[in-house]
Amino acid sequence: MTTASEALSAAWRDHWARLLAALVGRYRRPDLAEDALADAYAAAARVWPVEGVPANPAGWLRTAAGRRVLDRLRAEAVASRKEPLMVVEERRRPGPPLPGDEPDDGAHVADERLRLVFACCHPALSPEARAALTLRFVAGLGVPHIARLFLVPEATMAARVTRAKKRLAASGIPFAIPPRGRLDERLDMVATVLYLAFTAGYAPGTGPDLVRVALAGEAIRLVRLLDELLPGRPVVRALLALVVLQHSRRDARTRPDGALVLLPDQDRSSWHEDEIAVGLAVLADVPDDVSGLARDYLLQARVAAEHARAGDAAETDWTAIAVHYAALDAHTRSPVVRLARAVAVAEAEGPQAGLALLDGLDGLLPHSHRLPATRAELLLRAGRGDEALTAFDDAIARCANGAELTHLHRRRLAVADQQRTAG
Amino acid sequence: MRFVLLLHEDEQVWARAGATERADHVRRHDAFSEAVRARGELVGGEALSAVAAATTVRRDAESTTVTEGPYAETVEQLGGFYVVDLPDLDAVLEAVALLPPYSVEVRPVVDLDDR
Repeated sequence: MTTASEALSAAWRDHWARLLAALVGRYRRPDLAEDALADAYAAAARVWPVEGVPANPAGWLRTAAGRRVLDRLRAEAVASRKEPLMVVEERRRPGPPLPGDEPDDGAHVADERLRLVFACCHPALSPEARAALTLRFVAGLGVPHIARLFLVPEATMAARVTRAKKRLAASGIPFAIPPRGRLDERLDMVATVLYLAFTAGYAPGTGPDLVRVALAGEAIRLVRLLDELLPGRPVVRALLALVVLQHSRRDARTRPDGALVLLPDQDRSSWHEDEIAVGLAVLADVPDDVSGLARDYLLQARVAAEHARAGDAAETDWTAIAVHYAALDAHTRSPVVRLARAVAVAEAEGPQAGLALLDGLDGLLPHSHRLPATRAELLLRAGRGDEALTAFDDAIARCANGAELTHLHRRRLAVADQQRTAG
Repeated sequence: MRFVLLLHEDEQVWARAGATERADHVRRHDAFSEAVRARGELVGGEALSAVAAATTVRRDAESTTVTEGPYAETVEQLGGFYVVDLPDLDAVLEAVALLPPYSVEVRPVVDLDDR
């Protein structure tokens, strides 16, 4: 790794959120600010390796991004003059701001990234727009990556991000932190996008690295901050338990060459015991009767806890896990949950019972490689090897993650050999 | 920033309302106006007569058709509008919360100055 790329990732980690917040505050155009800052980082990636890292990287980035915002504002001013003139009466300039108009400085939310998350979670944005904006603004994720997380084609997600940014500017939605007394109104939305960011770091659907520990760790840090800011909220407590338990397995999930290691094959001695203890303790305090999103996270955390408690794969209490997934399936009606439930049921009751739960999912998950991959494994265990090969081919055709693709090819090859030997 | 607020409600609600309810509506509209003036400007606004009085004119290149009734037949009808000048959408939403329970469509006005 060169000095320039180290400096660039340090600049991303340390300055992205603060620079974005400063640009938004100055120009009141979050859409332009985000584009401009992304451009500035791209320029840094080109210039720094050649000309050297500037003495003040944050200042360099701020200047470059500020210049880009001004260029765009100028271009817009020119473009608007060319539009056919509409009859618009001369607009009076607003007078000096009244006491109520002073923008909330958001000092009650100290962390820059958490402030951006709250700002992205305005209720006048659609849930998809909030999540897409947060992943773009706070985590700096690219559109292909976000699209994979939402199980939609890239073009759809690109249009959605563009629309969300335009809507921020066009609808008069203030890009600001709500006052302290009204933070709770956005709690579910904030929890949802933090979990998505965590998921993005944990198992990205595209790109060479399966586990982006840094992003997942950053998401956990933000959940902890949220828990301190608004203590005792069930949705935050349940989410904290869930992400801590899942993250405790990070070192066991990939081989040194980046290949995926499935849960049964993981080296459990590399699970972080201390973190598991923390996760289980947090989970134990979440009340049983929570509803809504808190219930969603609670049930998922209970599944994670069952895995964490098992000393080895054979000890896993699949019956308990299948029960948690059945409750989660009834609660969410999500096809992704149904898929996970099918795996648990196959473990507890056999492959036929699992396969039966996959019926009807194809139309709901048309882009996911996990559905055919799961079906392939269950078909194989049901002794239907030829059908399993076809399902592996489907999965390979849909998979865009390098590590998972390697795994699928390896599995298909092994099964094909097995079939030949048997035949 | 200027916004047009399109107030929709089932016309029958107003038609059936008694004197007390009507007075309450008026009070709420006054509270709304006051809230808007505290943070910006109430540029204008009108209550509209019932859709039974509406006339819809449809034009294309060749012809003009005039029909009796509103542009679209729906349960909730456009019953009035406001034009307000407020700092942002949140200020609008806070003021709208003071109005009687309408469905309100909030639309920013195209402002060539600000583009």
